[in-house]
Amino acid sequence: MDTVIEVKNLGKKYDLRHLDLRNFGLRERLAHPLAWLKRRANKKEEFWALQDINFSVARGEVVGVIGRNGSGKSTLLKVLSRITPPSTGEAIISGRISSLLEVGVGFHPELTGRENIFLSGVILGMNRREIAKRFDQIVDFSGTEQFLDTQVKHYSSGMLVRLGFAVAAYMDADIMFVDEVLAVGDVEFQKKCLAKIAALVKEEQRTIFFVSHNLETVRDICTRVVVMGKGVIDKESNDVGAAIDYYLRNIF
Amino acid sequence: MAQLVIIKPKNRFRLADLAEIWQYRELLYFLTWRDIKARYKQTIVGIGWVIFQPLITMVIFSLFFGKLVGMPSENVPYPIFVYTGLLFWQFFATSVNDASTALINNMQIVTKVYCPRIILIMSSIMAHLIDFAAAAVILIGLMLWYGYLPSLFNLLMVPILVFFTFLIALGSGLFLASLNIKYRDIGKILPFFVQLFMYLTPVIYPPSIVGAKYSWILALNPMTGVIKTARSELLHTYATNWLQFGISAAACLVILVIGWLYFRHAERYTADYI
Repeated sequence: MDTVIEVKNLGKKYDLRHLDLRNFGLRERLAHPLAWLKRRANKKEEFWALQDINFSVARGEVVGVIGRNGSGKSTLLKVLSRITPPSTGEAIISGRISSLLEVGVGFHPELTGRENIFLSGVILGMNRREIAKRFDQIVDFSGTEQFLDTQVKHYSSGMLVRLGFAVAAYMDADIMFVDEVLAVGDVEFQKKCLAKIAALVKEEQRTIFFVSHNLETVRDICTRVVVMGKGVIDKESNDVGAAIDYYLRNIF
Repeated sequence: MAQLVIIKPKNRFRLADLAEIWQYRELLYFLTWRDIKARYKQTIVGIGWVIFQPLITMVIFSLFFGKLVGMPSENVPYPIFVYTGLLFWQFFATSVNDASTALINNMQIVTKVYCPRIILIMSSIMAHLIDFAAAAVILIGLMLWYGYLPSLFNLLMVPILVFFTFLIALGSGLFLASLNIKYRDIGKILPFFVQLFMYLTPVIYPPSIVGAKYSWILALNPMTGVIKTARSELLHTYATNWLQFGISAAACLVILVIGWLYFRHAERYTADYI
């Protein structure tokens, strides 16, 4: 088996005390020095958003991550996408990464659709040549041909989502991290995106790491499910149906 | 082709971090281009505003300080004296102001995608290079008008001085942008302090009026070195004081290292705090 993601003892700690102190400006510190010192001394308010996360993913797998709000799904994706560093452990990822944590990252409202395809593509990690090569496909998939030279501030939200997804989907990547981004488009477009993801897995052996609240989607496209609960992995299984049932049983 | 990405709790300096900036050079180019393009969309005069500001400032300063106060100007006409200073000063001032908000203004990129974030700060400064180039046209006009013909070596010093200004702005920008993550006060108050700082830099006056005893204080301000050297090279006010230029260069390096170290420290929590 060709491992592309290897996660060992990964943990992410947030210091709530620290976040709290942020609201303690200079004025408050001077006005209430005792309250400030007391709060500073309180070391117990640590919050582990992720703890002891261990798993590995092989090439071509589609891993669905499910769990309640606040179970650490998005934090995990942020750590794996290198947006925020972990507090403990490590993750080794071999291959080119494309993160789709939000559609249309880097879009500038004043620029045209054409300009934004290049801008967003470069921000995602492509180079100009690659984007130019894929340009027609991106436009075709998003169906924005008619508005290519219109500033995107005049686009409908649906058009923006389509264009944003298309740029990310056509990036030449080995591994794709996808957060709950498809929830924003209409049903038809969601289907189109899922079909695209399935095609990428099949044709390019792409590995997808996918966070979703939509259990139907997970059932349809995932080959493995990770159930998260309170910052730890609750269950992990190749039996997608069983994992989803487990999750549903524990929710209610 | 197969890249290996190792994600760990932020560690010490690696040379790979510097190589990565080079890898992302196209991002630097596109973000710079975006900043320039977006800045002048839906304006009529467009890039013309860039020339307008230092030009009018120069006229007003020449009137008040040159004519009315009779400020000494190292034996060159006051307008060209002050404009040379303003040209470099404005590049620095606008760059630092923009760099300090570069992370916050690009919050979506910072929190949703991976890229070396130093690129965001670098591009906010690079976008002002075009302003510098546009405003430099006026200086060329003034030089022709007053008959100052620099030698080739003099002209070669200009890109070096621009690069120096870039590094000073980058060092300060890295520090201030990181501080701005935690304390938004920076963005509010910085333009005011930058304005004040102009009076600590010999833009509208020659450093000689401070007196020899305190000139080293001015030299510690690296922008002093840049502006003094620009004047001595382009306007031949006197022979370039390389020692003072060296002191300014060292100060620039110190700012860059401090800014960069603090930026690296703050990078651990940038996406969480912003």
